[in-house]
Amino acid sequence: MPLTQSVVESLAPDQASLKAATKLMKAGKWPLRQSDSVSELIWGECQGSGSNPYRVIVHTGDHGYKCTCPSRKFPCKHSLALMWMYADDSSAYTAAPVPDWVTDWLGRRRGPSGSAAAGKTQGKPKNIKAAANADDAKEPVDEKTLARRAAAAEKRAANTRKSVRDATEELKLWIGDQLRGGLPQFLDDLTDRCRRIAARMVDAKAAALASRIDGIPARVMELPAEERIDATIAELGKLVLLIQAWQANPDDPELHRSMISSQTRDDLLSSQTALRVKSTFEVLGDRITTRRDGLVSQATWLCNLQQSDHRFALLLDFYPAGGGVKRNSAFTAGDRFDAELVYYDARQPLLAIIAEREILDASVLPWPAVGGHDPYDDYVNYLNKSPWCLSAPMQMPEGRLCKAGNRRYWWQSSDGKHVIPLSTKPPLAALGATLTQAYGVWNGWRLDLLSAQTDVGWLSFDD
Amino acid sequence: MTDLLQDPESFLPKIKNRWMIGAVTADVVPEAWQETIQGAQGNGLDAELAVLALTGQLLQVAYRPANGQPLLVEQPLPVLELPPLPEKLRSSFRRLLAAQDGSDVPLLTLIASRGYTVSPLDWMPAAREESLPSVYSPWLGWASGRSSIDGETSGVGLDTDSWSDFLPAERRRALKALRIEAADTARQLIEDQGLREAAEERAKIIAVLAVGLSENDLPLLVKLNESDRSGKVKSIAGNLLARLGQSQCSDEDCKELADFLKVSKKGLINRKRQVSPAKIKTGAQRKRRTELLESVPFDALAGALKQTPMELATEWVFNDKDGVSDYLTQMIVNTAADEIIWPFAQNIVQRDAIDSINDDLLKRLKQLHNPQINSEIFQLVLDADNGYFDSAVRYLADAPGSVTFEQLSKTNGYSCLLAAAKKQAKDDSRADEHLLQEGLSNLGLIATQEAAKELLEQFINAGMMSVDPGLACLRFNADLKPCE
Repeated sequence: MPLTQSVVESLAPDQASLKAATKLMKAGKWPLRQSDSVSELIWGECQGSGSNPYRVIVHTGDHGYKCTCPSRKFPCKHSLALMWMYADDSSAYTAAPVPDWVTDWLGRRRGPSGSAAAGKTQGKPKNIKAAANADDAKEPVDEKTLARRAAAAEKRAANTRKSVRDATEELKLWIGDQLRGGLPQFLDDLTDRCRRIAARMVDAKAAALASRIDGIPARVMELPAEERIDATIAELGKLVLLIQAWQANPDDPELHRSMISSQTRDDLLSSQTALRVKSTFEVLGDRITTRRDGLVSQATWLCNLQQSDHRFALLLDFYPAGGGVKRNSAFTAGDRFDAELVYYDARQPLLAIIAEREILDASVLPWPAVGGHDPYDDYVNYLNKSPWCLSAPMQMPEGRLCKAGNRRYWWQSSDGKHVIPLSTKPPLAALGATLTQAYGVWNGWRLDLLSAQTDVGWLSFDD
Repeated sequence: MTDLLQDPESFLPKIKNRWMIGAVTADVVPEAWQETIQGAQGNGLDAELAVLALTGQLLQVAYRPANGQPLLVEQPLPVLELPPLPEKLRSSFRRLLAAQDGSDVPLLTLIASRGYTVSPLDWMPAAREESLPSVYSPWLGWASGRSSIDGETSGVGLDTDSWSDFLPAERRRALKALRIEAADTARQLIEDQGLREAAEERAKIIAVLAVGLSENDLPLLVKLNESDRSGKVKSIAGNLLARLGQSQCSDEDCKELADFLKVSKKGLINRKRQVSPAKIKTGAQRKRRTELLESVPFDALAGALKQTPMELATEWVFNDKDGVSDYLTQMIVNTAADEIIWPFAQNIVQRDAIDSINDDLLKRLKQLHNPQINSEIFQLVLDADNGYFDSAVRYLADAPGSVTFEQLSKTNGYSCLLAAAKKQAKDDSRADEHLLQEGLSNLGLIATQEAAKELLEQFINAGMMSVDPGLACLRFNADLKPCE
C-alpha cells in the first residue's frame, strides 16, 4: 500500500506525536532526505534535540521504520515526519544509492509486523488535518506575569547558588577529610565514598559536579595500581580548582555547566554571543559509555578541516540506558560535512551543537598538517585555560604504535622524542603501519586514539 | 606558574608521602609555593587544598609518561603480491566478513582468485590460520612474529637447508607439492627434518604422506607406528598403513564390530545385497560399537564381514539414525585405499545421503588428482544440493568463483532457492529465510562473475529487493572484476 497521509495517520501512536511531527516538517531540519524507488526505501537525517542528528529509515511498501532517537513512541515523531513529508511531496527526496546504514538496518529487521501494517488504527482516533492546523500560539502573557515569572526564576537561581555554595564548602571539608585519612584508605573505599558525596551534591542541585565525582572511581581504577595515587591527587586537585573558580564567579557559563547544568539547546541557538563556526568537519570518532547514573553518554569528536582556531568540537548526547533500545550513531568515523557549529561558552571552546549541516558527497580536503610539535602541548594549553578539565583532544605527528612488556601499548613519534601510553590495544595491522598523522583524546594518563592516516590507509579506532 | 614547577622531584615525593599517611604538608612545600598558598586566605584546610590543587596540576603538566620497559616496534607490515580491493568494495567486504560467522577463508579465496587481497585494516590473519590463500603468507609470518620466505614466490625451494626458513603452513604446502613431483625426495626430507619437529607439527607433516602414498613409504610408516612418542603420530601412521593394506588390528575387534552390522538382501526379483547397522539393545553396546568404528580399519572390517572392501563401500545403505554412516565415512577417509574413495562417494550420492560427504572425504577425493573424478563428483555434489550449496563451497575451497550460470541453473538447489525467494516476496513468509541467506551467500562464493550477475537478476525478478542483504555476496561477486 502506498504511503499516504491516511497511512501516516493510522500509524501514529497518538495525536500528540502527529502534532510533534509537524514541527519537524521543515526542509532546514533535514540535511538529508533521499529515496530509492526500486527498494521502496526513503531515509533521512533529522537535526533533533540531541547534538547528533537522528537517522530515520522508512520502507514505503510495508511501512516499516527505524529511527536512532531514544523515543519510546513507535513510530517516533521523526519517522512520522519523514513519512508525512514523503506523502505530501515525494519529489523532495533525491534518488540515491542505498547507503550502508540503511542496508545494515535491512539486514537486521525481521520484516513487517502486524503493528506496522497499514490500515490498522491504533488507540484513540487521530486526525492528521487537526495536527497540521494545530495552533501553537500561546495565550498572550501580560507584563505583570512575565515579571512575576522572572522574579521566581531569579529566586530559584539564587536558592540554587546558595545550596551549591553550601555543598561546595561541604565538599572541601570532605576532600580535606580524605587527605587526613590517608590516600591509600581513600582508594580502598573509593567507590562508596565518592558515591556518598556525589549523592549529597545531587541533593544540593549540583548535578554536573555530582556526575563528575561519580566518575572518579572508574577513571582512577582503570589505571594500574602504581598510578592510582597520582591520578587521585590530580582528580581531587582539579575538583578544588573547579570549586574555587565557581565560588569566585558563579555566573560564569563554563563553570555553571561544570557544576550545575548545561544551557539548553534552544537557549544556545538563540544566543547572540555564542561562538559560531562554519567549516568542513570530519568525524574523528565516537565514544559511547554508560555512566553510573544510568545514562549513556555518546561523545562524537569532530575535526575542523579548514580552520586552526577551533580545530576540534565535541558533540555530547545523553540518553537512558536499557529498555532494549540499541542506539546507532548517526555519524560514522570518517564522515565529512559542511556545518555551522555553535559552541558552548568556554575558555577553550570545545563542546558544541550543530546548528546547520549540509552533507558533502565528496571532500578532497586533506587533514590539517601537524608539525613535529610535542603532542602534550595541546593538553597543557587546555589546562592553562581550564585547569579543571579532565581530557582534551590531541593531534599526533608521524609515529608508530609499539608494545612495551605485557599488554601495554604506546604511540611513539618517528623521531623518537615523544611517547604516549594508549588506553586500549590497537588493531593488529596498526602495529605494522606507520601513522602519518593521528588524532586522539588524552585524559592526562592515557591516549584514546580516534583515527589515523597510515601508510596502508585511513584507520578508525572505533569499536 | 613556571616558577612553581621548578625541580618537582625535590619536594613532590615528600608531599605525596604526607598524604599517604594522612599528615599535613605545610612544612614540606617549596618556598616558591608559599605565596600562592598564603593567598588562599583561610584556615589550614584552604592551604592544604591549595597544595593539593598545585600538586595535581604539577603531576599533569611537569611530567611526561615514560615507558619503563623498552618499546617493541614491529616490522613494517609486508606488502602483498596482489593489490588491495578497490576502495568502493571495502565496505561491502567488511559487511560480508561480519556475516561470515568466522568462516572467512572462502571469501578471501574468492577475492584472491580475482587477483586482489584485502586491506590489513579490514582483516588480518590470526597467526595459526592455515587454509588461507598463499598470497597472505607474508602476513601470516608477520602475525606469528617472524618473517617469511615463500618458496613459491621467492624461488627458494624446500630442502634440508631451507627447511627452517619456511613457516609451518607454507612448508607443508611445499611438501605436498614435492610429494606430487618427487614422492621419495619429500619422504626423505620428512625423515631427515620433519621428525625433529614438535609432536603437533610432526603429526601434520606425517599426514602429508597421504599425498602420493605408496609401498615405498611402508618402512617409515611402520617405524613411526611402532616407536613414535606421540599417540597422534602413531595413529596417523597406522591409518596410512591401513590404506596400504597393512592394518594392525585384532581379529576379535573386527569380528565384534562385524557382529554389530548385518548383511542382507533387498528386492523381490533382482535381490541386491546391502549392509546396514544391526539393531542394538543397550547404551553400552552403542558405546562399544562407536569405539570399534573409531579403531577398526576398513579393510579388516570388510574381511570380517566376508566382503571385499569395494563391496562394503558400495553396499552400505546410509539409513541409520545413530551416526554409524558418519563413523563409517570417517573410517574410509582414514584407512581405505584410494580406489575405494570414488565408488564410496558415488554410493553416497546414489543413496541420497549427501550429508555424509564431509570435508575430509572431499579432501581425499581431491587427493586422487583425477580431473574426471573431480568434475563428476562436483556435478554430483551440485545435483544433490538442496539449496544450501554448502557442500559445493567446501568442494571448491581451492577454486571458488568458478561455477557458471548454466551449471547452476540446472540444479535442484537453484530451483529451491528461486521458489523460496518467490514465496517470500509473495506472502512475506520468513519460513525459508535461513535457506535463502545461506544458499544465496554460498552461491555468491562459487559463482563466476557473469553467473553472479545473472543470478542477481533472476532473484530480483523473483521479487527480492535489490538491496536485500541476502544478495550481498552475489552483488559483491558481480562487482568484483578480475584485476587486470
